[in-house]
Amino acid sequence: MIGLSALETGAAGGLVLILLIALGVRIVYAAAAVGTAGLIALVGWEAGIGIVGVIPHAKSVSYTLSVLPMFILIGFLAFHAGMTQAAFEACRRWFGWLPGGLAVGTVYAVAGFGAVSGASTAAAAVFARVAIPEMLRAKYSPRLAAGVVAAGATLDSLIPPSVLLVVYGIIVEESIGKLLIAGFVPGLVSALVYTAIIVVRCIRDPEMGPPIRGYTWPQRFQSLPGLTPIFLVIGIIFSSMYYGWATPTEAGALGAFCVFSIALWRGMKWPELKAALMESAKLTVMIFSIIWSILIFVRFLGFAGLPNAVASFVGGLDVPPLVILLMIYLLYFVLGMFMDAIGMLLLTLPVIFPIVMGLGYDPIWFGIIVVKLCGIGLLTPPVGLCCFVVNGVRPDIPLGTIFRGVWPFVIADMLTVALLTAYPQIITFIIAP
Amino acid sequence: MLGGVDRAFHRFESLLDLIAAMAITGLMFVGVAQVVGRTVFDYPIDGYIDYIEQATALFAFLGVAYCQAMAGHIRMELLVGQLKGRAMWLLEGFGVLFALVIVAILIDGSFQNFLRAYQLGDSTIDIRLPIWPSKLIVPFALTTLWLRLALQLWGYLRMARHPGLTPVAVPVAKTAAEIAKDEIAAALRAEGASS
Repeated sequence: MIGLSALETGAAGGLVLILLIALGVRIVYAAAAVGTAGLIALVGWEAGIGIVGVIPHAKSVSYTLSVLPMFILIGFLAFHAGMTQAAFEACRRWFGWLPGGLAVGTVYAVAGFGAVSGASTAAAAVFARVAIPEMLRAKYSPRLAAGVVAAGATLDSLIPPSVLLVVYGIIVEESIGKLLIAGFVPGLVSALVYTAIIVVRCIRDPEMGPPIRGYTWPQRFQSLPGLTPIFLVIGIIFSSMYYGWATPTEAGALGAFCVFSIALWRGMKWPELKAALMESAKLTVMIFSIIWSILIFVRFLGFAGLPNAVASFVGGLDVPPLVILLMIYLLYFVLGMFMDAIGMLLLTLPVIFPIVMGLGYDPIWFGIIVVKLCGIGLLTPPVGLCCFVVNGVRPDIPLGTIFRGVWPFVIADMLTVALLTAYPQIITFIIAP
Repeated sequence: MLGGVDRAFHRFESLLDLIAAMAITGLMFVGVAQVVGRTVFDYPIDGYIDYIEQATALFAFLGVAYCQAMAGHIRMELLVGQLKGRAMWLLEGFGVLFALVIVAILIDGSFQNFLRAYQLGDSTIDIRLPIWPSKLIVPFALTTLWLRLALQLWGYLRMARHPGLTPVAVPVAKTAAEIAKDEIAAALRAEGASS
């Protein structure tokens, strides 16, 4: 390109990409186009097209990526395995006695179901219908009831099977198995922090969420079989990663097969199965497309030397690493208000990841943190999708009330991120050799 | 005219998406067979990874036009969602025109990539499967995507000329509340069907 150094071309490319995305061009085309144009500018037409033509096939046809459709399939079949009512009932019986017990139970039910279904928004929709009426009947404040459903639905992103963690692992080339194992405890910690927030608030204001008493121990144990599909899927994936008896794809296949069998047994018919399969294929191709297109862009950035330049610039700043890290958190928090989680991860990681590695942080640890920050983005206005979903199912609870209802949980999530930053071993202990 | 072409093409791209879906289902069964074969009978499938890798191209690419038709490829709707009428249709048209150019370049590049593999007789490492069929899937699927984009460009330009018409062959930009409504409908339909 005339007069521009490689580095300047890279920076210009980044700016053009941001502009195109702001104009509403789909990320797959924007990233592929900027990457292609940049490569052509740097290495010439012939070589540029040559590189670009190889990437989609070379980066997609890989065994590692085949885990994605398996996790996605589990998600779309999960709705037909009928675990929502059972999960809510079991969690109500086990946690109901706590102050705000129904809300606490909802956190675990929606997180467990969300983990298996892999779709926060869908989990929010289903539980807005299942759990909110029960909570309102028990005289819970609508703000708490709606807030806990929206917020609980975002907990799924850390608990296996997690598509977001897989996408992170693919982009930064880290072990997907380790990421899946490492996400489990922080997911649990997040749920515990939510529990603490609910309980404390309901102790201070018992009107907000009275406890539900009267369940006997036998009644509690009777509710457990309904949780089998959830435990089965999470158990298969976690144990196979931890003990290494299957690859992520195989574990995903086993999990999908279990949910598939349960759904068939519960009477799923061909039209429903076909719809679930078509949706799985659609989401799969969307994620694959955005991965290879971003990788075209990343190849261009690499040729331009931009990630290394930015990383060494940031590394050379006379600022404590923690301050830079907090700036990165802030960036994700703000981006999360406007962008879809997968798009946000893929667009930012090529530049952010080398910076964070340059500061000496652990790649697995950072993956968990980033995915947690993506979850927060599903709650914050103006496009906190989970809040819109709850409002859509319950138009009687105004959107403003729901956004106010999730704030305590957003703060809880920030506390969790702070906790995980101060004590990274909460994430890393489980994958330590 | 546009409506007829759109419907006919949608049947075709849906079929491709269904083939991708079948490949995903196949991957599930093969994965289960592999785990059971290896752990229970100590008899893993010969060339398992090679087969999976080559089959990946089916679900990585075949549904790409269907996904575009259903507005499945993600983007930021902040600006487009605010616009109305002619301005919106023109901006949408610009996005699609832009996509047409880059997809055309990708078709060329990926076809060259296929041609090299075909001429050199490239094969997988383990059981020596030929690689060219999976490489051919890329330019083929991208060509279907290009055709879908061309239909959408037609649809957007038609709307830009006559904003009063009913949109045909184009997805319409949605606000967060509308996206939420779709998500809910899908989730509750699936959930309701099973309970």
